[in-house]
Amino acid sequence: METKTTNFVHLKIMKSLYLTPLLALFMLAPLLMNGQMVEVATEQQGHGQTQVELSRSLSLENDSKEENIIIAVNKKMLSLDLRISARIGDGKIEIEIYSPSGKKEWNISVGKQTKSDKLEEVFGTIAKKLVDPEAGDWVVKLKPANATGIVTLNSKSFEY
Amino acid sequence: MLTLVLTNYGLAQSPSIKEDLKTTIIGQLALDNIWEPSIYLSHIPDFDRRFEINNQMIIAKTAVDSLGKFALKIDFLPADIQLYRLHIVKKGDSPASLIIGGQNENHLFLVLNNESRLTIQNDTTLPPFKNVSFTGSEQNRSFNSLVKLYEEYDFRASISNSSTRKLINEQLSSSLLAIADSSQYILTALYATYLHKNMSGLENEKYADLVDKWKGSNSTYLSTLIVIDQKKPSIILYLLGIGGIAIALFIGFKQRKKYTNRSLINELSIQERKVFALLREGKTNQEISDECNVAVSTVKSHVSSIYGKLKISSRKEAMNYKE
Repeated sequence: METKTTNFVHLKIMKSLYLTPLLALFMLAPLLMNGQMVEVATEQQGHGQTQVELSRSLSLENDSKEENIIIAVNKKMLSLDLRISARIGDGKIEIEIYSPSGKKEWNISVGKQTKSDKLEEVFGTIAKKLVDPEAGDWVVKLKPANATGIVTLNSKSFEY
Repeated sequence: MLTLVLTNYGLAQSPSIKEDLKTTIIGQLALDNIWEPSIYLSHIPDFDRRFEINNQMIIAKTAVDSLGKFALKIDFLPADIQLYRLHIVKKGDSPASLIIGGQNENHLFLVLNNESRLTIQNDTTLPPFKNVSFTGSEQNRSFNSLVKLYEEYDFRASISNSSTRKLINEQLSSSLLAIADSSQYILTALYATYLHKNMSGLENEKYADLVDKWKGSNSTYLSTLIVIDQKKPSIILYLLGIGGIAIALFIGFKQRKKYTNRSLINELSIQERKVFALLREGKTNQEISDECNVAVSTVKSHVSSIYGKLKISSRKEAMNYKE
């Protein structure tokens, strides 16, 4: 199994950047996952609220190793927009999103059953908005099976 | 944006929609120009796979004309009611694309068999299937009301604080149980049961009363809901079982010659039925490949399997095959 990292493009230009403990936590997350992911995080403040945007991408190449992406939600968070996409050229991946209480909230499965499919890729996206999200660790579970492709996760949160 | 209201099969009268008695899903979608002018039908073999996408699940495709009208032949589907999914894709995206949630959610679940007749119309472009009306199919109206109910509760829960969320989940729980208990439509009742089981985490035993009444249907969608008896049968049951099998084999042997072509066709998978229908229209492997969005080698594999199951050996025999 070989996993490659890929740079991921994103986001709007921000007026000011402050490294808060929350942002630091986000940025430490990939180190806890063997650094297999590339991520970009920005934080913007205004009107008494802080907006944090985070993008992560994971390249898969004949990959079957499960990965968990943790999204830490604190009690100050007003809303959380999540968008997770998978573009798969071969194999299959299941993506599951669990709330802090352990309940599987959403899932999607994206894959190709045969190598002979002439269509080049299969694409799947989950897009969800949570207002006053449950505090704790939300877990995005990636379960690839001989998957080749790319998974991207974008999150945008607002807090006091 | 289109606002044409369809109340019957008048859509088929559109000059751009080929009128065909076998056309059984017709509709009109108000679509933004971000979407490809095609619509796809996928088979969902069990509820756990309703959010799965791959090329093999796609069993039919048709064009959407400039007015948003489309017509889809589904006469090749099996006779038993099963779950399907219509979807559209963004321009430039693969046909096998599924978007869950958000303004670009791109799919709609349908409950169909080979005799289904229905018209579909939406009244919003974003998401394109959010407000869909059905004509001619109370079963689809019922199923999609359930889907909508679940999504609405899910949305309300996602924008509520924890105490309100708990209350909403309790309301959803009782609504699902009421639907599971009272719906006259098998897939609506079973899907309500399935959703309740998923949200409650209860074991299948708790749903025995709700599920038992559908056991006679032999629906494949029962498989995730029925209770599998883990108890070891007694020696008498073993003997009775072996005796039963022997009798069944004997009767089966005697009846073998009476096996009809229809029952052989029932052995074909849904993808094979689609390929078989196209074979009977005289289409080449390449044409079938184009229509089904699979490689020619996959078509050849389906054709070979069809020949084996129907005990035929040529396209000519396929075209002359009597059901």
